This record gives sequence, C-alpha cells and structure tokens, in this order.
Amino acid sequence: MKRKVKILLMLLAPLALHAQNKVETFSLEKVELTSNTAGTPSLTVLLKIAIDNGTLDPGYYATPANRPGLHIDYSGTPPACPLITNFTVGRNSVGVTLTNLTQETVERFLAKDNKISVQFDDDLVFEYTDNAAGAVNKFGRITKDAINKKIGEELSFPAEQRSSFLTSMNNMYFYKNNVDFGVQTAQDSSSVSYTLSFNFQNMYGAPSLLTCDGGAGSVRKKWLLYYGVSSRLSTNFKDSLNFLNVYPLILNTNNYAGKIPYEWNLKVGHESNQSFTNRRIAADMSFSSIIPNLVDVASAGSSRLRLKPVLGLGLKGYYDYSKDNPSSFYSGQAYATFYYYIPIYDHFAIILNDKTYYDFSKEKNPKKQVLNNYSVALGTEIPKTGFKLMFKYENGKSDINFKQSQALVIGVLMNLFSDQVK
Amino acid sequence: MKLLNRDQVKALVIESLKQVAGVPADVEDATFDQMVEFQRKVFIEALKKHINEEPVIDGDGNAFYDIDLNLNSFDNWATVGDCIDSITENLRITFRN
Repeated sequence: MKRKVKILLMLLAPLALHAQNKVETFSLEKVELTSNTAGTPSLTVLLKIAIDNGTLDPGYYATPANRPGLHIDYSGTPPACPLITNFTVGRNSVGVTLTNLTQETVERFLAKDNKISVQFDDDLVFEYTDNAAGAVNKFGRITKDAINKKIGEELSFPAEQRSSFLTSMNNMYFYKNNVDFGVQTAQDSSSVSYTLSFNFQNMYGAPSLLTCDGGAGSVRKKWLLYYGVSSRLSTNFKDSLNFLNVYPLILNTNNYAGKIPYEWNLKVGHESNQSFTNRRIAADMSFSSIIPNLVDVASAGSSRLRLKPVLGLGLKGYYDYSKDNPSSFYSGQAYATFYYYIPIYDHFAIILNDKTYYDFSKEKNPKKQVLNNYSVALGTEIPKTGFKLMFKYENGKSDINFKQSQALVIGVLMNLFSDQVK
Repeated sequence: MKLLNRDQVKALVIESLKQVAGVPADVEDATFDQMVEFQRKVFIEALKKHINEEPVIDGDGNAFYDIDLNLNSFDNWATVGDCIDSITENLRITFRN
C-alpha cells in the first residue's frame, strides 16, 4: 500500500510543479516610503501589490531563495556607514526596510544629487491566498523592470518629510510646542484680560541626530541640544502669574523604553516676569518619570484611559538681579512638578498641573516656606469628541516674583486652539 | 508563518498602554487626547518593543513582527480601536538576513 502511495506521489509531483509555475503577472498599486522612529530608526520602501480579495502568504519568504535579490545603488559613492536592508512582507505589500541610517544616508536617499536608491535585481514572486476563488493559494509575479521603474518615477523623499523624519527621530521639539489663549475675568467682573501661554522648543543641528558608530551601526545621540521659550503673557501686565523664560541651551537625555522611563533636562537661560522687574539667570536640572495612579474615580464602565501622573523633580541655581532688589544675589530652588489627568465618572475630567518649590534665598523666602503654583482645569470629555474645557483655575505664588495670584480662565478660545498636546 | 490577527494585536496594545495608564475593560473607544508628549513616547516605544518581541506564529526564529511607529501615528488614531485596526492592517513580518 505504502509503495502505491509513493508511486502516486511521484506521478503527481510534476503536476504540482506545473501548477506552481502558473504564475500570474501583477502590477504595483503604489510605492511609498514610510518611516519609523520608535526603537531602531528605519525607513521602508513599501510596494503595494494590486491584489483584489487576496492576502500575501509571508511563509513563502521563509525560504531565503524565494526573496528577490536587491541592492542599494549609491551612485558610485558608498557612504561611511552603509545601509542595512531587510526584506519585509505585510498583508498586501512587500518592502525593503533600511536601517543603519545616518545623516549622510538620510540626506542622500532619493535626493537629486549623489542619490541613494533601492534597486531590485530579480522579479518579485509572491504566494497569496485568493479569497475570491475560495481561499486558493496562488502565485504572482511583478517584473524587476516594473518595480524599478515605479521606484524611479514615484518614490520620493521630499525635504519636508526628510526634515520631519530627522526631527521626530528623537521624539522632539514639534510636540513640545503649544499655544493657549484664554479670557480672564476680574473678581468684580468689571474688566477682562486676555492671556497667551506658549511653549516653543527647537533643536540645534537636527540633521546630525544620528552618528555612525565606526561602521558597526548608527546610533542615536544620547544628549540632544535644544533652545526654547516658555511664557504666560497677559494684557494685564500686573498679573503676577505672567512670565517669560528664554533658554538658549537645553540639554536632554532620555530612555522611554526602559522599565522606568525617564527624561533628564538641563536648561540654562533667562527667566523674568512680563514687565522684567523680576529677573534672573538660571541653570536648571530636572528629572521626569511616570508614577502609578493615585486615584480612580472613573465609572466602572467608562472607556477612558486613566493616565498615570508625570512627576518631575528639579534643582535650580540662579543669579537674581531684579530691579526691586537692593543688590543682586546668587541662590537656588528645589522643586517638584506634577501633571495628572483624572477622568471622573463617565464624562468629566480634571487636569491638574502643579509646581511646588522651596527657595533657598533669604531675600525671596525669608519665612522658609514651601510654596506652590497650580492650575486645575475642569472639562467634559465625550468619547471620540475630545476634551472640552469648561474653566481653568490658577492659584499660587509665581516662582519668579513670589506674588500670590489666582485666576479663573474661561475656556472659550482655549478649545479653539486646544490646550492639549497634538 | 502568519501575521497576527486583531485580537492578538489588541492584547499587545493593551499591554503597552499599561505602561502609561490604567486600562478600562472596554478600551476601544478611549482616546489618546490627554496623553502628554512624555506618555506618548513611552507608549509607542513599549508598543514597538512588544510587537518586535512577539514570537512569529509558525516562525523559525529568523523573522520578527514589525510596524512603523512615530509620534505622527497618533494623528491617525482617534481612538485606541483605531490604533488596533491600523496596526493589524499594517503589521509586517521582517526577515533577518
């Protein structure tokens, strides 16, 4: 019996091979360049195959011989840190993932001059499940000429996308930037003032974010250098919560993937109130991390995330030369910052922002008090519509002029400009 | 060798969210709106790590699951459900050389 089965299999084998050789020719739907900045930075040249009602079978490429040969064309000038290519396959696309990126290879990739590009040396053959034909496995082919033509004609890496990739690679400045507008009512309701808060942070030398580690692989720079401006300005110049901080030097290092994610920042710059009567030159070192949730007041059936608080601890040294002081002096501050978004029941939320600090100077803090400056924002949040601010209450002593102030900011315009990170 | 299905991707997304948040039983309608930059960075780094480390179904150890992630990804995810859909749709298997 076994012998008969063997003979039958031997007879059927050529038929199976013949079936495999019936390879349909396909075309590429599109070719695009995608970027990744999480973990190891990479670019992927993604070829979307026009398969109707079908999905690729990635197992076909488990055999290395089934993957198409390809090479990187360096236009005759190999870079100091050559790119590493890996073949990748998705549901209806295949691609080439490029790692070991450096400033040089990112700038030259698909550029006009000294261009680097990907070239296929073999036709692309793929196995796919044809769902329209009752989940039958079939083979398809796209010629190397068609692929290389499509890459040459349609794949681009515009300057804006290149710059965006380089800057986002180190998860940075753009997302630090935000603007809030608010309307502030006086206690007697006889006057209103308008507030503008903004944070802006940008990087020095963004294109040099990656360095070639002696050919062994590209590495991210561990220390990143920024400059930034942070402020709260008001049409009421006397509002003691106003400030304007300018930092020409911000040094950052971080580890977001560790068991305890953290950021270290060293800022050097000038801090003042809006009228510049209180002013100082400061050097500020801070550490930020995520801590466990402290409260849970969301409804049991609520679908909202209970974000864990972000806690920062810092130490600041400064040289104070305020107009009001009889003489300038050196001193310092220890402080803690706290951000906590607390969902309440189904649709409400509180956003708590606090800075608690202790100033070591006899001039600024003669009573040796621990002081704070906080804001509480109350709003509603309906799933899929985002947070709608109702009002924001600010209270406390500014750590620049030590004047007590409180403010109720009605969030009419704030919702238009959004006070959240986007 | 197979790509992960939606339920398998959802489990990885939830595991990654736990790094930055308490996760409700029904997480799909939750939004990322109030995540500050720091929390977003931690979330996508954790997600990338979990996806890369998930053993490939019927794999031989020479391939890993992969996805392109960056802070712009949040622009395409109105909800956690959208994030799960997007990753399921765009997940790839990358072969080691």
